[in-house]
This record gives sequence, C-alpha cells and structure tokens, in this order.
Amino acid sequence: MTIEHIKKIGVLGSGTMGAGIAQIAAQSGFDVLLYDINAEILQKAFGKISGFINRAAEKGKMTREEADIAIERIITTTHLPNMAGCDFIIEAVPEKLELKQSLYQELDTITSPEIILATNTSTLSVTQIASITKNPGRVVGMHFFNPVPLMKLVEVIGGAISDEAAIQTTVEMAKRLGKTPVVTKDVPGFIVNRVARPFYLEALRLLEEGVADHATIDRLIREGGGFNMGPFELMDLIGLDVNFAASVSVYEAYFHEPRYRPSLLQQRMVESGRLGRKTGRGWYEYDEGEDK
Amino acid sequence: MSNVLVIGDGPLAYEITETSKLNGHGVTPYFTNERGPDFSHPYINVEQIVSRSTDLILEAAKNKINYWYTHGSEYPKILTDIPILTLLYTESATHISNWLRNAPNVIGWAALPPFEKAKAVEIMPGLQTNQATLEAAQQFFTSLGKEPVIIKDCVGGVLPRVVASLINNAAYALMEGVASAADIDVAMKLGTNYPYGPLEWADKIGLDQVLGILEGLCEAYGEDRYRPAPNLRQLVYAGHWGERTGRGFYEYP
Repeated sequence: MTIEHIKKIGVLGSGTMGAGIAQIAAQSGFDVLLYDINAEILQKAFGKISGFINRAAEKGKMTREEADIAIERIITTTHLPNMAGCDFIIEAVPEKLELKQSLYQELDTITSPEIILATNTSTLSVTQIASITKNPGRVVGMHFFNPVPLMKLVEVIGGAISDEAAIQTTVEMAKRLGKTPVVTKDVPGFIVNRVARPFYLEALRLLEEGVADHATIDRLIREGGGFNMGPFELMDLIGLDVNFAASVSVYEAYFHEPRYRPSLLQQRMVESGRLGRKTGRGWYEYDEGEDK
Repeated sequence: MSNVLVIGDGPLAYEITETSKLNGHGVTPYFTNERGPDFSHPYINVEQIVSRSTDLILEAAKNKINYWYTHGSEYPKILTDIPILTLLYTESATHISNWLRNAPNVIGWAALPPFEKAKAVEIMPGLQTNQATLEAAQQFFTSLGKEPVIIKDCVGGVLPRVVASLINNAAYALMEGVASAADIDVAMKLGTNYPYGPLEWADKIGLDQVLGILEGLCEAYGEDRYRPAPNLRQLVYAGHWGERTGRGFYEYP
C-alpha cells in the first residue's frame, strides 16, 4: 500500500511509546485506532494523550478546534480484529518476542497482506519477529525515540526479508508524522543504541581507572566537547538499570564484542539500587521534587 | 603574554595558534601535514626551531616520535627550562617525559576541535612533572579563556578518548553497511543530541588524529575494544584526512 492511500493507522500497545505514536499520528491528520489488551491502561493512555493535546492548545501550539479534531480522531479498542480497518499498523507492545510473534500471527488472519506491520522494537530482531508470519516482507522496523512527540528521529529498519517497497512506505510514513527517518539494517541496537555505547562505556572505564571523578568527566564532556549532558548525568536520567541492560543486551547480541563490554562498576551501582533520578540517587543525589 | 612555539600536525595545532594570537601571545607556528601527508618533514628537531625567547612549547602532534624521540644521548639544554605541553592523543605525559630523559618540564593536555567552542581543557601532569610546569600550563590555558581541569595522566584523556571511541564505532557501522555516513550522523544528532555526528566530527578532528588516538589506546591498554576500524585506516592511508584534505568520510569540494 502506498502512502497516499493510508488514512487510518492502527497502534498496538498503549504504553508510553504507543500513546506517543497515537498522539502524533492523530496530530498529523490520521485516524487512529489504539489497541491494548488492558482496558484500564488504554483509558489512562487516552486520558494522557488528550491531556497533552489540550495542553498544546493552551500553549498556543495549535488551535482549540485542531486539538478537538485530533482527540476525536483517536478511537480505542481492546478487540484486535478491529484492526481489520487500518491501512498501516505500528506495534509498540512490550519487548517480548513470543508476545510480538503471536500478535503478528493473529494479524496475519485479520489484515490483508499489503498492510505494513511496523514494529517499534528497540532490542529485538525485526527479521526474527517477521520470520513466523505468512507475509514477512511487510514487517518493517520503525523505531521511535522517547518522548515520541519531541524526538525527531525514527530509525526505519529493513529486516533481512523486508520488501523494499514496505521500507520506502515506512520512510514516507515517518515523514508524514513529522519525523526525520534514517534507514538502517537489522543489526542489534540499530544505529543509535549501538553507536552510542562507548559514550557510557568509555566514561565508566575512565572512572574505574581513576582518571577523574564522575562529575569531572561529565564537565569535560559538556564544557570541552559541547555535549548537552555528560554520560553520568545521562545515565541518571535514563536509569542506570535501563542503561546497563542495554549495554548487556548489545554486548550479548554482538557475541561479546569487546567494544561493548559492560561495566562492573555500573553493575554494582544497579545492584545497590541507586538507579538515578527515579530513585533519588544514582551517580548524583537528587532532592525530592528537584528536576535535575 | 608570552612567546609560544606551537608545533603540530593536525587541525587542533592550527586552531590553537589562532586562539593564542587572538589572546595576545607571540606565536611561532611550525606545522607539518597541513594538507595531508607531508613526506618532506619526517623528523622535526625541536632543538633547532626553539629560540632563546621561547617561553612555552605547545605541541599538538599525533606523530610525537618525530618531535621528541630523535635527540642524541644528551637532553638538549635549551629545552630544560621551557614548559613543554604535549597533546596526549597517542602517548601519556609520563611516556613523553621518559623519552626526554624524564624531564620534569613536560605536561600533557587534551582537547578536540573545534577548540574555539571548548570552555575547558584537560591537563595531565606526568609522574615526573614539576609544580612550575603545571602552573605554566594552567596559566597558559587560562590566558586563552579556557578553564584548565587537572586529571590523571593517560592516553587520550577524557574527551578525545570518548569521542574517538564513538567515531570508531560509527566507522565500523559504516563499514558493515548498517547505514550511510549521513544517516549515521543524523541519527546520532537527533537520537542522542550530540553536537556533531561522529563521522563529520572525525572530519573536523582529522582522521589521522582519530586513528592516532585509537592506536595510542591500543598500545597503552592492549585491548581489542580500541582496535581501529579498517575503513578508517584505509582512508588515512589514502590521505583522506577530513576537511583539511578535502575528503574524509565526506567530500569537501
């Protein structure tokens, strides 16, 4: 299906990413069918989305009328077969291979084969997700970044058996959603989560070696190199557990490539429960309510 | 204000010469490899280019062995009193001082282009470095409007080591056909908010310099994690060193 024919987008999963995708799709003029297996989570997500859109209208980023239209475009459902009416489907359910695969097998019977199934996976192989479906050529990776409404980048991942036309339509779709797409092969971590690893890992090595303390390393990266945030500040923001898990996952996926070897020091920090801002303490300490 | 001899073989040397002039220093520049491989100056005898009025030597060279390892058995007297600031891309300050008969007037420093935008500079006293040399280094960078930050002596410092590792990783991704150079750079700028994409940054730093940092880290740590991407090495062999040669990961017509 070409981009001109796409009017209605199905979004599977109403977590942070799914809700963000549904929001930008509605704001970009698409009808949206937002699906989640859990009605309560789905209602909460819808409440959040309309809250964000209303706030954008209050701030003057869109008119009241535009906001109302965008909110009206979003329909929620807990009934997967309703996806039959969608022209393009973006899946953002939890990162469990079996869960995604069973969902795609159901979609095999619900949707016609020319509908693109785009997965917002960040850690699984697109090829593997696609492999057990009847029409694996229509499965493409579409990796959004959090928070979806603010982050411009979308990585479009061609799996080993994705159709070239499906990749191109997904690239066009990302543009229609106001994003900047980049096309990448189906390798662990794609571009960003792979190339960025040394930003954290080398900083951790420098700390382990005692070259400087974490605050000095952050400062040199910011003030010497012009980065917005130092690696330790960024780890605190992301969550040390999440950041550590990403490193471990990339390291394992590349068969223990030494460039991606995780940090023992970071593992100890995770074990200690100092996970960053969300626990009030990571590499830095945070007062309650402080927005650092 | 002082008389500074700036010697070097990469964009950082050229840039710091301008910064030093702007801040009122008398600068004697001595550059090699300005527009690519320079086969006419394999070895530089610093003893012969330093003058009696030189107050400080700022070295920003990748090929340090060409500057500091070619002296005779005696440490040249003229160099004993002048603070020598050596850019720690490939060796540690302790190592360079060792080449100079464990001279106490050697100290390391590190930064990356674009130097103009840097607010802080890393300075690294070696095990032999004396207090007077440390103070001279601090004064010099302060005079350029940069804050000197003391860290432990090591190859690559903090910023060059982190950025060179990012560049190396991006070069591997490019070599493996994960994405185009432009898409890798766009992804890193938009996905992680880096000031430059790693490959365009490499073109500013000089691919020869980036390779130097990685080889220095390989030598110092003996670890596979620093082994340079083969495509980076190929570009350096071909003289495609980045912006200053008209071609690196990108072309500059």
